[in-house]
Amino acid sequence: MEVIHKDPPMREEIAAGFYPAFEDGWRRAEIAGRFGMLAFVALCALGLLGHGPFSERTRTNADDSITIRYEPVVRFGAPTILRLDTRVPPGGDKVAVTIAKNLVDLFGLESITPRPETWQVAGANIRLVFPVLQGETRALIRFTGSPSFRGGVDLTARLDAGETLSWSQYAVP
Amino acid sequence: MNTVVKAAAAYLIVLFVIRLIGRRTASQQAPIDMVVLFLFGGLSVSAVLGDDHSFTGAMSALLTVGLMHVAVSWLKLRFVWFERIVDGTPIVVYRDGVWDEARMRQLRMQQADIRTAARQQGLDDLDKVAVGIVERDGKVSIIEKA
Repeated sequence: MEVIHKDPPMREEIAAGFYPAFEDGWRRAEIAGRFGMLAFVALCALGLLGHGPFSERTRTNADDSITIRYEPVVRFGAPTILRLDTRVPPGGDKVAVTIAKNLVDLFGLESITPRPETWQVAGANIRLVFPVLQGETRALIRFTGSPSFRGGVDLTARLDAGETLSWSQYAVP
Repeated sequence: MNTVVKAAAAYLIVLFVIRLIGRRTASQQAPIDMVVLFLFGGLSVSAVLGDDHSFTGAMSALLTVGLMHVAVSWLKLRFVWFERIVDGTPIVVYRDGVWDEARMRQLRMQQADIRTAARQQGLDDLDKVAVGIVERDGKVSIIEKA
């Protein structure tokens, strides 16, 4: 077999301590790599790369009809929760929320609590109607899903008579 | 990301993480070292295959890892700098009665590891040891005094 690397004689290598300059350089790379690992683990532990103690954000639309708690950064295929806190029309016993189709498709929607009374296709969106106890002023709706997209996606939700609330989620692999 | 890309990425990440955490884990079989290796294996499988329980998925990952191994071996043969990054170089930690404390700290080796290697070679005194070398795979070689 052809010798591609012709190493010096063994005695010379041992006398020179092999390749201390390389090992010094590798030691620096090792330390940098360990700090990199520590930084990545810290980001994950804090929830900046998916679910964690600081992963949730809250966003409210201009007319305060919908407030959402969501995770701006989610992990592909990992469960995540969206909580919509919506205003109930005065005297009403139903709340209708129109959500972006992407919420069902890309978000990998698995369950909605409470269960919607009706689902209606509304253009590129889906309109969901939820029963609400008479007299309630706010309704909390919980969507759970496992994102089936990578990268960013823009999502929207709005009440029948309300401003559109938009938010973005970014899925890491 | 499909299975092939994930398997290739996992191979490289595991390779460099093992290199970064030090050569001890690669060679020692103490409980703490085995914990790392077992968990690396288990976590990598779930990261690569996820919910894909198909035979095709598993085989594509397995063959990808095999091919990555061939590719890395070829690159090691072709480029000496790559070989040194992947495997490291031997390190002298003991010479003529003098310990290289800095290197030993870096390698997380103790004097006992060198003494053990000397005993395994039938030596009962470090005075008979010319050089103690931590090899690329983490094992300790002892060269006796002439």
